[in-house]
Amino acid sequence: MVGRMDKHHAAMMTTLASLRRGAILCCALPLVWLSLFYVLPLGTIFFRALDVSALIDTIGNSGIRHVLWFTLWQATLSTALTVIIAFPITWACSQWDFTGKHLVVGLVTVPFVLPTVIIAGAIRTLLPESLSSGVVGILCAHVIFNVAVVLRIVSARWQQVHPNTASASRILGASSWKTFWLITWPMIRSAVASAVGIVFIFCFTSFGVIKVLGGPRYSTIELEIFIRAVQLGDTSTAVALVVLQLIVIGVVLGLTMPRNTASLKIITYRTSWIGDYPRQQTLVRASVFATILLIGAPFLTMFINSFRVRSNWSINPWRHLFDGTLRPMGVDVAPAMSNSVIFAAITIVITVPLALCLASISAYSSSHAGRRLITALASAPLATSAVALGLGMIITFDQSPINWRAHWLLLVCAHCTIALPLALRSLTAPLQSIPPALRDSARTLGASALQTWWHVDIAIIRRPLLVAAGLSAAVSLGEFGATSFLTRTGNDTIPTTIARLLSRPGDVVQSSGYALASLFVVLVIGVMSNA
Amino acid sequence: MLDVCNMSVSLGGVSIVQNFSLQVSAGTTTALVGPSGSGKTTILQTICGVVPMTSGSVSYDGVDITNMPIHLRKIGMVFQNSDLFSHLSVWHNIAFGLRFVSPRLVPEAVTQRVQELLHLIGMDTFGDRRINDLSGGEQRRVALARALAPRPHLLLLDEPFSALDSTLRWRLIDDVRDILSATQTTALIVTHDQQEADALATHTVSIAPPSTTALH
Repeated sequence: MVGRMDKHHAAMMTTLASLRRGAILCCALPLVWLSLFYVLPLGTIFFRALDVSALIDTIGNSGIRHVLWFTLWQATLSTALTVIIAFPITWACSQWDFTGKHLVVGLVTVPFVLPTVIIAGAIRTLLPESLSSGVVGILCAHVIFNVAVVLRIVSARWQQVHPNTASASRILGASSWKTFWLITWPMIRSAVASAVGIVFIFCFTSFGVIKVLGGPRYSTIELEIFIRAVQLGDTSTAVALVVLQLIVIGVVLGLTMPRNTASLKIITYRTSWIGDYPRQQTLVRASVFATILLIGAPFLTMFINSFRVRSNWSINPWRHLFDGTLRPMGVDVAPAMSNSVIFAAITIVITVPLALCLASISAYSSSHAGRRLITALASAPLATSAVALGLGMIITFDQSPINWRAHWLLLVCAHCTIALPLALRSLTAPLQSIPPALRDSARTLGASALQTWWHVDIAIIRRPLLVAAGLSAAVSLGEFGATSFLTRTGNDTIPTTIARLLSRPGDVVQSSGYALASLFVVLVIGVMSNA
Repeated sequence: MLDVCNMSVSLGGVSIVQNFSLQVSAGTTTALVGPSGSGKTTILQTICGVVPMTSGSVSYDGVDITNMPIHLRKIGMVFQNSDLFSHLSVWHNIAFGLRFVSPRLVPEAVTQRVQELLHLIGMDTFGDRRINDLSGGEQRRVALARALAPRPHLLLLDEPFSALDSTLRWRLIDDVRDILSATQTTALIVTHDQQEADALATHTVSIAPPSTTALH
């Protein structure tokens, strides 16, 4: 009997040890990838920016100071508005169960995976010209894009607060507001801070929205980097701006990242069916309706506008997408669509295995510090401006033997690096939540370490793997910042084509842009819903 | 006196409690005994207002509290688990309800009441401790002290000794019986253990799904 117990214990220990060895081995691949396509490009930017005089000249330029000031205050205001507007739907989705909840969460997430140029284009069709081309339009687009960030991050945390905690507070005499302020808020504020940090960074590094809605008056650092590097050929100022931007991002991340999240157990509690609580029903309904209106209205008006030419109904904007009419303007939709699909497919093939390797390290590694370091490194591209990454890649891979700047593969590498943090996040938690006893049971039943990994771990995370693939595809399909830098003639993607159409004068061309954007929204929804 | 009259509760379209009636006299301890799934916890949560009632009424000392907001009912409750505020110390957990029930209570009176309760539960020196640093039995005691602090009209205890080992459980049962007796608190305890009910309660009510009551 004792002998059998020893064998069982030994099998359990070897399962974990074998998985750890495998995890360390597969750690090399993503680390090489990140070193090559993230650390090296950004390191090159920093190396070039060691020219302190260029940095000082850039800060001393009054035009740049104006851009920096606008970037800061629009990002602050956009973040504040996003958090305020996202809070009711976050409360509704994290605390209550209602019909269509998953659909609502999915709908709110759609703008986040769409190219920002599409959201900007949709805002242009919703608001009058005087409002859309300026601060109001920019703020609206940022809010629509980022509501999902607050919803996802804060509701994940809020669902971990045991419902009895708030009930206990109420029973002890605290009103709803006091309960929220004294009990719930301290438990969710680290998640709110994280969401604030991420939303601020997204708004601070906004590119597509400003490019379409900013007009000549409004420019952000991100857009300025693009203008300096691509249109003016002033690489030294562009590099100095990237460094400035990275410093601000570093400070924001340092201020908002959670320091201590140990007080809540990683358990998601069941939410209550709203139908049983008539008093809260109205609030939940109002929150859902307002959010659907906010998110859906711009896309609806964009779709309607794709059939409007000079106040008349017409299907010409849709027909012109595929009949070659737009080709003389340098717009060819069919190749752009096939490029986008091919790039997305390659992105899935590269990103998902890389993310799986990293998630495995996170799940099996016994070193807490090492695990945190690798996760932080892999998540860094999420907080880095895509334009900065694109610029870094261009100036890094522009000489022999790695003169890849004109090759489409570099574009795919950028997509993979940007998609990696999202794919990683969708795999890490499911892998970590697999009880070790399941693997031990498989080993004691005769499965090898590799068979255990395949038949237990991979079988359980099949759905998260699909989600990771869907997110990777969505990021690749929608990526605009780095793509603007790295795309060359013949490598156009749908987002760059839409941006080109929306920037051209002429009602039919603009409406064709809206038609292509509508088509793209359907494509992304299809990819995401299948995942 | 607590008077529950024809209480019915449905959650998610499923009937959990049907026409349940109960009377609990002032100063007594009543145990509600029944198997898992018989709706015991739902009955307690409905009495204190956390779960809405489909039909029926709840009154206390002749005052109908069926539609009264939770925080005004002056009912204390100890949940089965996870109800302590993990971001607050033991002292602040116990003091939490005092600020609402007696807003004009001077800080000295709050301190005195908290010390009194810490002494009552035998944890005089635990005021500064973090909740996550306490054992299961200590957490149960703090939950009891916190519920008693605002001097509720009625105390509801939902399986307060579950998940405790046998020795600790019986020691705590003795302690709780003494505390309830010393504070003359009217209490309604939910348990699935008849022995536990016999040791604690002056009256026992058995329920079985669907909630038909039988008074012993």
